[in-house]
Amino acid sequence: MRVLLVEDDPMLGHAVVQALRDASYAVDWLRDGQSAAAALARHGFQCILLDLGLPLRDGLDVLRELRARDDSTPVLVITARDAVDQRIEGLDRGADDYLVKPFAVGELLARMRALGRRRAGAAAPVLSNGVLALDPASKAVVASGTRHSLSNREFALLRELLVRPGAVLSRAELEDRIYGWGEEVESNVIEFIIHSLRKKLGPESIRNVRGLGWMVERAPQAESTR
Amino acid sequence: MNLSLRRRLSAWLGAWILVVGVVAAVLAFAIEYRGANKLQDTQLKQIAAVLALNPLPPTAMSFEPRSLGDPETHLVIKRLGAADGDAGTGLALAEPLRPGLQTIQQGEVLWRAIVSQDVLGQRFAVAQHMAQRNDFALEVAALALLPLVLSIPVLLVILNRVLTRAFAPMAAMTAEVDRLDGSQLKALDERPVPLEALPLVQAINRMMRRLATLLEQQRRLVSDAAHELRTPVAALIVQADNVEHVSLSPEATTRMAALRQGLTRISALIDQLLNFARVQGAAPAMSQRLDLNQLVRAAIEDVLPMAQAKNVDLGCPRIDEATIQGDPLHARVLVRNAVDNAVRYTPSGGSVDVSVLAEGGEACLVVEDTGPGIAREDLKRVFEPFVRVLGSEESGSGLGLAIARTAAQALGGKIELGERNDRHSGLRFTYRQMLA
Repeated sequence: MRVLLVEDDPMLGHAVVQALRDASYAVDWLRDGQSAAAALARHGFQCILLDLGLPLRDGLDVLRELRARDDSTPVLVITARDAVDQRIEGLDRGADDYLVKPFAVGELLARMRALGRRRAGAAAPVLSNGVLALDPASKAVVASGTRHSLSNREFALLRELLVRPGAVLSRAELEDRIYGWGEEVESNVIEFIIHSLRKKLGPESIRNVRGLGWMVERAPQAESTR
Repeated sequence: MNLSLRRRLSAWLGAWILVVGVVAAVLAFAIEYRGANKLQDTQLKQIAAVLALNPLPPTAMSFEPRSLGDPETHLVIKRLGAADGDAGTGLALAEPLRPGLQTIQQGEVLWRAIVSQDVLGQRFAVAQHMAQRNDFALEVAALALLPLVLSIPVLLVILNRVLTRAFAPMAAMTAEVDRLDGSQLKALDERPVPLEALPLVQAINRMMRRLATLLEQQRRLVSDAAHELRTPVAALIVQADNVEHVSLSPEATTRMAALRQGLTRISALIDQLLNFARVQGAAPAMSQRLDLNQLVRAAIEDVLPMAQAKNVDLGCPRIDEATIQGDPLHARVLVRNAVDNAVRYTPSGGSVDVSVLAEGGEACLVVEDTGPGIAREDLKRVFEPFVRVLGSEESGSGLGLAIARTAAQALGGKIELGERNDRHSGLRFTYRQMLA
């Protein structure tokens, strides 16, 4: 896969090029907006890593020109400004994703893989936090290499938790989401389902946050680094 | 010592009121006194005129109309010429007396008398004790003095009131300026300012604008510096990742972990610097209704990985429904820093309780930890940027509480730090704000 990196900082540029080569990508590195625009007009890339604050031509400007040509190459914007800053709002117009500096290589590679999948139209339907992987088609979960089949309620609850790993859901929210309107909710049913899930998947699979609810852990950094 | 305009006005106006009052009183007294004497002379003339037309009976040598009962109107009427003697009146008149009004000295006593002639040619005198007349005149004059004398203290009180009123805008403005802190340098309201003080207030406002610009530049410098730092730190982190990509000896892996910790710490410090710059400068126009529970939950989700890594039990014993009004950035940063700080400074095996209470129209966020707490003498200091309490081994940014306090001020709430109310030792962080 051929990647274009547009980054004016030599230190970060060298480091990212090294990281991408380590991960077996073919990398072209340009340091200013003008040559980036020229390269994009001539060559095809499978993925573009674009810094915004570039010399000669602003990154957003390069992006706009690319999209104006109906070029839908995935663009991952790498920026020092984060979500609170208003510049991010402009990204909606053309960037597929953005990464705020500083970032770990694992995070960068994971985002690039996700962009590639999205482009192939095969966004993985499997919900995963790196420890648990839930397949909605078969209603089965894979934990530490072992496949477990789940009941409907177990599947519904685990799916709610795995949609956003790291988010805490309260009992009321879980009841609300796994029971339809008019269905009677038996008391302690959530605890019961979680108890049986933990028995199958291990006691650490679903964590309780005292007074708030339950969650599954976010994908650990180390896992995505490799 | 500085000259007080108010005190000067008060002293001078007060003194002049007194001086003018006293002079006016003396004049009024003299005029009234003379007037009363003149009036009594006129009375004597009128009585003489009446007696001239209605002669005294020949038997009556003298007459004292005591029947009138009023000692102040005491009169002596006396026939002149015949056997002169005082006839029990105390008045002995010796001819020759010139007709008309006169003052007669008789021993120690002074008389005021009028000598006249009736239609029968008989001469007579009407006389009054001078002392009596003077008493009367004195009384009249004194009564005339009363309103004037009473008006002086009234005037002084009014003067004081008027001055207080006139200087009230200045006092209010002083209080307003005292309340201003560095985070909100807004111009003073020029409308209630008296014309005389307006140039001064306008000059203060011009200075405030210059200061605000300067502060904004400072804030932007911090923000820009933090943003600029992100790129080299990003490079360092990617380089560290690259080093780990080749196989390292176990010894090198350990050393890499220490390096990574340092990088994580720098990243956190940069984020906190940005947060600090942001809470100092966020526009209050972003104000909206915020669910405090959602904010607490988001903060706990953010901090939970650190709590789990440290084996700190993070939970919520009590969560009331509470909605507050404010800028979401400020509120988010405030709650996040409160929870983050508590977990950061709580040793492994401890616990952190986050509660939301809605009581008496107030939303109250309470974060209690089982950490070492903060010594009483340090409680004020820890809100200053980069102040760390001695003996703490944690590597926080040193900005958490400074950020929280700045955010609290912008939200209109108040942070208190103190000891826990229960038997556990540790820090109790309380944030109070009116419910929306």
